[in-house]
Amino acid sequence: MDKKTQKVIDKCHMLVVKGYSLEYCLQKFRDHEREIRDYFSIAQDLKKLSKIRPSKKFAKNSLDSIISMAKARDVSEASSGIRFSPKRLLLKPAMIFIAFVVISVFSFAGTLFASQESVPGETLYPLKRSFENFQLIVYPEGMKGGLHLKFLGNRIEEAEVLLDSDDAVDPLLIEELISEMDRQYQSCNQYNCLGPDHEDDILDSMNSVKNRYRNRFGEGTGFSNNKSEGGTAQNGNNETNMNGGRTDQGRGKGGQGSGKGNGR
Amino acid sequence: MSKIEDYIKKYRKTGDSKWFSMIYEDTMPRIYRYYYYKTMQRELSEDLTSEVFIRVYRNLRKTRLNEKTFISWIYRIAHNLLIDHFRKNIKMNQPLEEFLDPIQVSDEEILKKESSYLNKELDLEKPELISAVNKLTGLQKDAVILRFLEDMDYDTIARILGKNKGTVRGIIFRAMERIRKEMIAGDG
Repeated sequence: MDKKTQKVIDKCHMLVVKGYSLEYCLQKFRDHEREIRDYFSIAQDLKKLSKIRPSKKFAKNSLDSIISMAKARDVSEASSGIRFSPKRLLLKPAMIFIAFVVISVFSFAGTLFASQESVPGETLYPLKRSFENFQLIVYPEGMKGGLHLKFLGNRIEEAEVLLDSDDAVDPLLIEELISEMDRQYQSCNQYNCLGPDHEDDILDSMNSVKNRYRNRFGEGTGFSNNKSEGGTAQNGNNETNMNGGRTDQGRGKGGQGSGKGNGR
Repeated sequence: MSKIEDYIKKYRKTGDSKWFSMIYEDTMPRIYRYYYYKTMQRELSEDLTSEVFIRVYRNLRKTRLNEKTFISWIYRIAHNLLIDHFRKNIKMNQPLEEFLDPIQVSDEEILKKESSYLNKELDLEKPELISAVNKLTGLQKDAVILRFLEDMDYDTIARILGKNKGTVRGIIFRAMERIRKEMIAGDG
């Protein structure tokens, strides 16, 4: 049967569905009369096949048994737990692993972020310091001066927080911070990370911390002030200048010894 | 909204078996017919029909179907179940494709018995029609059943068979031509 005849038959089919008679269609497409007649005759015969029905017994009783069987299967599947599915079985460990990795990464990042605000004596503080040490290992040489400056700022800030606190603060913690401040200052100098103006600000802050420490915990603390304006160390008890500040470099600004222990 | 779509909506909403039974009454004979003309075995057709509706009962409330998509869905279940049935009964050395494509009733005894049953039941003027239909390939038989027994349009048939509309049209015209030739040969 060619395409044109197929199109004609499709048109006739549409017309008959719409309620036109087959005779009307045959008149309209006289050139294809034989093919149309054959097609519709077979279609009519085929239509009779739709009268076949299942047995009365089946039609009457099947629904109840279908529903009860469906319910029984639901129950048996529910009692046997998770339905077996190879796809699901393969996906499950992968999904658990991905979820675990994602949760771990986010938890760690969140903890790390929270630790940045911690001060000595707090649970997260060791993490903050470990992360700083890690940064010193992985950062390129050219950026390490900047890191030391940043860490020096962190120590000053932490010491100020502890000194501002009204609660009882372990002086050892602040002593540790002051020592670390001196170490960072020295490391920073090695990388020439401080400009002259900036250096004065930093030294002022460091000296302020040391003075406040002395004022709070007594004179015999053994810390020498760092020179900020070409002066000498205010605390003459210990002028060891362990950290080799700018004095060592012959510029008359050093003397930031951390000679602790003298008064303690 | 069509009658069946309304039943589906109500059943999904309430879970009341009353609405499921309405859906069942409307569609069960169609599924039975589909199986009957595919297998020419009444008992097997009833078993397979029951299995289809067990699956429908268990899953219908989880779906969002309108009338057209419901019809496509239920025939897909029926078709897949028939394939599973043949797959279980296939002989080990027989390629599945060879078995599935024709899905013809090649047993002459069954064909004779069922043809006389149909002639009696339906009072057919041309008894050779049954054997002509049974000589169609599996796909041609599917398309003819859906088009002429179930009055479906090309789009719906295409969705059920997973083919495009043009292909379905071609399958149907080739099937009709084959039936015509078989009936002429039967007459002769």
